[in-house]
Amino acid sequence: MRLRGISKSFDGTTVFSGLDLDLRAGEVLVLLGENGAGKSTIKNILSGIVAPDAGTIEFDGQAEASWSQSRAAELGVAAIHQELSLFPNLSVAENVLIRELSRSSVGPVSRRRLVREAAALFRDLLGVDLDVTRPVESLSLGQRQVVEIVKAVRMASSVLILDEPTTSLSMHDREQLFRVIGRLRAEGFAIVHVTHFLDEVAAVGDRVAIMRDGAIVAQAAAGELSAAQIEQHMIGREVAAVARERANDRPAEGPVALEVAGLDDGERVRDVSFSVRRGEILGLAGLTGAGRTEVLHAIVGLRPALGDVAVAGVPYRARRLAESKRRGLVLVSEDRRLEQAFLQRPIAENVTAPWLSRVFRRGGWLDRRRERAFAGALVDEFDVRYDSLDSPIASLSGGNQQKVILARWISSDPEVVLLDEPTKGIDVGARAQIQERVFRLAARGAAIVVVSSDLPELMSLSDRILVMQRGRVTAAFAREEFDPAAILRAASGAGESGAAA
Amino acid sequence: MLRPILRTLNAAPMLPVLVVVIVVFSLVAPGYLNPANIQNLLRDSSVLIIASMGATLVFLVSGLDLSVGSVVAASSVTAAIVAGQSGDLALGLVAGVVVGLLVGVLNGVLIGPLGLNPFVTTLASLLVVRALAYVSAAIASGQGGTAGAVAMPDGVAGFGRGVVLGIPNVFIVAIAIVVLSVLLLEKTTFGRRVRLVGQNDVAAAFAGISVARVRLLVYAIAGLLAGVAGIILALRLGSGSPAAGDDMLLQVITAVIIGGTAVSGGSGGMVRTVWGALTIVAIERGMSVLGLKFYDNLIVLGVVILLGTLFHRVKSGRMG
Ligand SMILES: Nc1ncnc2c1ncn2[C@@H]1O[C@H](COP(=O)(O)OP(=O)(O)OP(=O)(O)O)[C@@H](O)[C@H]1O
Ligand SMILES: [Mg+2]
Repeated sequence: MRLRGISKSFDGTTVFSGLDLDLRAGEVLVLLGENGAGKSTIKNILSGIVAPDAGTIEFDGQAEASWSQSRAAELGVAAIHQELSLFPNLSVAENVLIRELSRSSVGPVSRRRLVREAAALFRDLLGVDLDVTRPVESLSLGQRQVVEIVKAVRMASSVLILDEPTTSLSMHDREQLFRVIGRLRAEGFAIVHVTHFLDEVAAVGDRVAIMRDGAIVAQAAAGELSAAQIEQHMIGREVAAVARERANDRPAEGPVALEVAGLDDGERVRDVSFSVRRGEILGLAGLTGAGRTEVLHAIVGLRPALGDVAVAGVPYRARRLAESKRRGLVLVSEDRRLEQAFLQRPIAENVTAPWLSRVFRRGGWLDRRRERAFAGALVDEFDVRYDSLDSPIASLSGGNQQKVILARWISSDPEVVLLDEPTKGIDVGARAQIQERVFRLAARGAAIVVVSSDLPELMSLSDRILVMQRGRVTAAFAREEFDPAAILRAASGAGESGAAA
Repeated sequence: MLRPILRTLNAAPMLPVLVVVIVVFSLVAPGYLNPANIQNLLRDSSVLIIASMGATLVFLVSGLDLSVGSVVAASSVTAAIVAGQSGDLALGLVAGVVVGLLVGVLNGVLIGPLGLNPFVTTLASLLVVRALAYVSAAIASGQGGTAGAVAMPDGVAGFGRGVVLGIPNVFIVAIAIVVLSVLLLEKTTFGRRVRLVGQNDVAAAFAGISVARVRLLVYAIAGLLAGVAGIILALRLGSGSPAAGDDMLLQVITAVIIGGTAVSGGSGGMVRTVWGALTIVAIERGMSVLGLKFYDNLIVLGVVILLGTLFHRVKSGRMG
């Protein structure tokens, strides 16, 4: 496939003008670039969701006069969207085989055959056994991403575009995905892989294209560019590793801010106990479905669970979200679309949503000027790329939406912050900034619990890492003992079980 | 050049339609634009505008209140009965408003804290309140079973028909309530919470907003406003009428939707609903000046709803 001279703008803001890009059969093109550079827009144009303002799209050497979603589907061009596009109330099987379902609109669909076919797909493609009769809404975000992958692979027959497919995947699932990509490449697919993880370039890529401000600034064979050179192209500088400024008083000596004892919901969370001190950052590692997200949900009261939680030494029994916030316990949850963003509301309102009482003047009257100043300062501090504070947050790129959500939560002075995949979809440059913000938050005395599937990031953030497996804490590592291999082993069940800290 | 026009269109999508309606009727119906007719138009629209403010709030929180028409009727009947029995007009008016508030709070408790479905809940209250209004009106007016209107005390009609500087009193009340509603929605944290809950209630809960409480308050306010609409109706007609609510529900929903507030919550506003309500009443007045019957009204109303929706569709298609 080939894009020639493509231009696109939204509401007068130009995303790109005169962009050229070639996709070749039997090749994996890794598309890199800052948040808002235009990667997802390229995906949308290739898959016919968004029509370019100018330029031509060629398929197999033929110029396509009227490129559309149905034309793309006809030619076997499929995409995995950054914002997952599954039907939450349908079962996994129905989602994966959605095209068959809509085609055989006349006549009954054999449910048993559907289930069998879908289960076989998961086994053959990814080697995972998933109960395909479960509704998608009951799955974790990581599992949903797996479903999305299987669905797209099933629909593709020539071109497959993956927009940040690995953001919620565990190491294990990621490797499975790369194996699938490798197989499809051998079968002659043209594959576009959009990612913010630079190590994936070497792992799956044949060629890299680097975007910046809507232009492709560099293209090269995968081996030709070092990570440092890629960063140079992406953001114009190398990303300096953020080291944490260690204060003299070691966090291990601060008072306990969050204490969790015997947390258990009888299902996904089994007898989890730990404590976090003020100024300490605790990491939770584990595979998809290990129960990390569920632990965080149980702490703030989103999941009913037995066991004790205490915040700053005060027992917290009747746990509810609103009450958690009042006690200075905030959760930045993973599912941005469903649980965090007010997609059609302005950016400013998205930032201030939990802090309305800070923005009003007296007696419930909103002070819009103060609100804008408050939101504007935060959004700039997190380096969000936006046109106007009044634009809906949906008009931002995925990574920039995530920055807005982080700005919203980290701005307050919370006692305890639970971060679930905080840097999901955020580019390398901004990621370093976010890490720095997390360190600063800890330095101000907050206790922080981080869940991240990105192990290197987890190791650089955390003072201590707990490994979870099937709802239980199976190992604990102090910072001096961090070792990716050992952590992975503990997560997949092969390691020695340490005591829960 | 285009920008201010687009902005106006965005804030009041029904304004151009209203202008077209008025121009068309003034051409085909002589006397449409004379002051008496315009005054009647404003008077007719007052009750609708007040009730629609509450309904807009409910739509914004992505809810639904089917009971609004019945509550307007019940409130007018209550006001007439209490004022008639006690001889105290003020007491009657307060009673009418209280009835509205009570139904609203009941709806709100069932839908908010108890989490019942708004459609089912307000359908039930529509039926119950409507029946109670008919029964009590029948008892009060001494006609067993038939739908009788209950007369308000004498002298009330003076306010209902009165004008200040040519503007009907009841319309002035309606405008005052619009202003209060706009302030509530746009300038208070409560109004903001309403929009946030309507846009994404899960995210609102994550942001620490007490979603159930916001819903409760919204339905309570909608009930209160329906109660106010009911007493204005009683003042205007000089009687409380249990049958008054029958078309009111359709008109209210039409006013909100063609006004441009999304059924799915989050986006929309109060002022646009006012334009929607005025459009509906302008059409009805025009039809009655032309001497057409009630059914024709309904046909035209149906066509207006479709055209209005189509219009929003085209407009948002062009802009997004
Ligand atoms: N529907 C839209 N309306 C307005 N602007 C949009 C819309 N979609 C995208 N944009 C703008 O287009 C630009 C490119 O966005 P895009 O989503 O392609 O970025 P991206 O490279 O995928 O970023 P990320 O890494 O954060 O996902 C951004 O500036 C974004 O604000
Ligand atoms: Mg993107």
